Amino acid sequence: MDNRIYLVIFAILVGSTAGEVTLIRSSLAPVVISTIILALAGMKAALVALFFQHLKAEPKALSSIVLLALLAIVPLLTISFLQIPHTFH
Amino acid sequence: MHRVSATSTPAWKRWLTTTNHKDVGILYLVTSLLFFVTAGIMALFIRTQLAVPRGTSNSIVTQLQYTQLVTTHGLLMILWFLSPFAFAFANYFIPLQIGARDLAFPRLNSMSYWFYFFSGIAMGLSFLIGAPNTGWTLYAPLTDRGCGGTLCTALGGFDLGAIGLVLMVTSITMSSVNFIVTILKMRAPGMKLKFMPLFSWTVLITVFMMLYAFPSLLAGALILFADRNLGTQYFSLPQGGFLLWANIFWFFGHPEVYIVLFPAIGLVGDILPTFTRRPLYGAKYIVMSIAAAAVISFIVWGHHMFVTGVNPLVTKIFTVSTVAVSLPFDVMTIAMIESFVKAKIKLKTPALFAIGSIALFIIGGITGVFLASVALDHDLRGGYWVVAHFHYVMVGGSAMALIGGLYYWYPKITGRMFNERIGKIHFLLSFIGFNLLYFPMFFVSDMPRRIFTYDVTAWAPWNELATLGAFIFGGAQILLFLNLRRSLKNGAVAGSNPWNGHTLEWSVPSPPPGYDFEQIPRITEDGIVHFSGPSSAHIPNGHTHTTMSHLSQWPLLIAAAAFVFLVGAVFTIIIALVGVALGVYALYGYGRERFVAEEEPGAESWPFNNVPKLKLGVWVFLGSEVIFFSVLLGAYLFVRTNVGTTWPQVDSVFNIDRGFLNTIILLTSSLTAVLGLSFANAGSKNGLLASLITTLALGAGFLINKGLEWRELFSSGFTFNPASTNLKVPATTYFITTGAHGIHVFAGLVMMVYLISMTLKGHYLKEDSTTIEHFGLYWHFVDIVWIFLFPLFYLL
Repeated sequence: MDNRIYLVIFAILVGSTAGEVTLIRSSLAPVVISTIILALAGMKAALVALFFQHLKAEPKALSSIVLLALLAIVPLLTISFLQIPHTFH
Repeated sequence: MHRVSATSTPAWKRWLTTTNHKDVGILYLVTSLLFFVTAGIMALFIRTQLAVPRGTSNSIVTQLQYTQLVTTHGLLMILWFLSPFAFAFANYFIPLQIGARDLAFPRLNSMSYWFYFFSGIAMGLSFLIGAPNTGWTLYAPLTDRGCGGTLCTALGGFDLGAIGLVLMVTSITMSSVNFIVTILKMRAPGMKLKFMPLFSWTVLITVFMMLYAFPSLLAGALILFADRNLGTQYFSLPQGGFLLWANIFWFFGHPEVYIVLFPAIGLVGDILPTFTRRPLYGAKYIVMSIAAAAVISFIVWGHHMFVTGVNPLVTKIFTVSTVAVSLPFDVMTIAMIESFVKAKIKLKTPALFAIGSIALFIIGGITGVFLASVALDHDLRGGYWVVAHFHYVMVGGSAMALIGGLYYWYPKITGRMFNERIGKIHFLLSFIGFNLLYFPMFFVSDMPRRIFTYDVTAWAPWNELATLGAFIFGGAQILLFLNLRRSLKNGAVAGSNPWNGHTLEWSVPSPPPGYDFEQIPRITEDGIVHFSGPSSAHIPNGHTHTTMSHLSQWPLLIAAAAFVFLVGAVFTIIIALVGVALGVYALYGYGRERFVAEEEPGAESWPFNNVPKLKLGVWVFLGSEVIFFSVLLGAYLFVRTNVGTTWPQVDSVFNIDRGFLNTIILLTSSLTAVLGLSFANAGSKNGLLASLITTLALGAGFLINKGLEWRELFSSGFTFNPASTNLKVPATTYFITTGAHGIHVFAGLVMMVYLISMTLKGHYLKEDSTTIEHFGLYWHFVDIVWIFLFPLFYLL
């Protein structure tokens, strides 16, 4: 992969991190800030995986190993949270 | 790499340093059977205690000893006997069944055995100085050092047990990576997935389950270790600590039941066609059912928590998923029963155990479906119904089938036949003893399963029967050991295929040579096996007729170092430092040892045709890391959500500027790491060196900045266990999560020091750059984790 692409990705990563910090000091509603910041974090993680770890150029089967792990963890995170209202509130 | 002939290597050295898959398989076999005997003797103590109403004064063990026996028995049987017993066979027979000459990473295989061995030592030692006594589920807050109840324990043995779990999960992760890469990358030419024997299929599905389930236990065990030794308070938090442990544990725990069961089902699926002399009925659908059950098993854990007061919506979800997971098992058992129709069954010992295990599993399975109902579960879960159901599945369904597998493959492993008559008597006594032991428990479903004595006389006859059954079942196993021991010398010569089996392992001599196949098999589209191609004289990695195997002492030493370090971390820093020194020495030796995991030319490797073995291995490992960190982050979110408004304001505890700086540092280190790969590919030694040194400096800078932050936090009173109630949750979540990440960063730094030293010697340039690429995959993953930690702790 061309080194210039790495530099562009790096610039986006740093820029979006700065954006996260700026956002937290803005007057937007907390839920909006949280949503945007987590979305930015997801985007940054995807960029690192796709370009620095080269998943973009790898067979899809390789990505599926990590995606399967994420898929396995989704029920744990979601259903665990569903338990909360009844138990503690 | 040492290459030593069988005759020139002392036996003790061979067994301590072997990396050959068959030797490692035998090591697993012997060790797991030792744990079987140990845990079995504990079971006899338990049954003797419960045989009659004793009261407290007439008991043969104290209440504490009883709970320790029950806990250690459960943990040893499930984690140290059943799974390793199955993986003894997997080690020995998977390469033979798929037409490979070893596992993908032989030294890693050896290391995973030694981690398993030392994990067992830790568990055994724990029993000597105060074993865990909370039941194998290790429920919080019983595990809390200071819970103050009669069942909770401050005994050091508990921490040794936690060390055992950490070492065990490490071993399992290494095994999972190894088997996934082996089965997906090293099948003989033409050995498409559809031609794989059922045992190989079940192992493949099982290792994927292990890869995704066990990191949850690892995260839980590490948190538990920190709670008990550092003073963090995850599992004792009133904001759902006990519920958090239950979720983390059972997310691992329920799939674990199938992890134990599936290889046994695979074994039955291999044994039946041999002895019914017809193909397994609906083999394709059995595989699909196993895969379906594996997927569903990750969404059924909540049925273990029906009485914890969880949301009714959640109980409905888990009721549906629990009933759903029983359906694939219906398909499997019906297909296996169909295989008997019009079959000319040869009732040899392996067949008897296989058939017996199906019968017992049906009882175990059906009695489990009752527990999917919230109403029934409410009454049944605390009594002996669950004990009976569980043992019908684990012992009846799994252990009986695995013992059948031992008889089935004994002639292949030893080259000798066992005594068939004694084998049949062994089966008969085992089957009768087993049912006498566990069936009566269904009739005392109202007897609480966590009491060490009782005074209800109506329960006594059933308990007497159960105890009688326990001694018959236990005594029958003596026949197994005597038979196999005696046959080792006196048994008739087996020949290569004494059962007329159809899978590849029966095509090689008994016992198989070190290199497995004289010529690598090739399977044509019609499923017929041909042996052609280069002979064993040209086998990669230097196996020849006179070579037993690669020998390496480093896997043993690395595992020993990890054990010593963790023991020292609990008891005394001096021992921990010895562990560190031994670890550095062993890792250095491991890294220096010339050991190439060569690609097998022409190997069947769909769907990873163009992915090298090592790269696949790294990605599979990262898959387990995804689960590990997701569980840690999930735990953080879980307790933080429960804390609600008492979480500290942004920038009041965690300094945003410091977090921002560390994020930029890590992102930059990812850039320099990936540029290093570019330099390596281009053959620029100086460019690679500069990149690695810069990455190392940035990684070290990250840790220094993190260390300074920790010091500031500590000096301001924000410790592992701060005085302010409002800060306990933030402190616990922050230190554990960023601590686990920091350990990963430190591991990356250690790797970089090694890579720099090797680069100075001229390695890793051009075609040799794969090591740099694989390191980069790890380092970028560590970066990704921080990308989430930064906003979660510093910004939100």
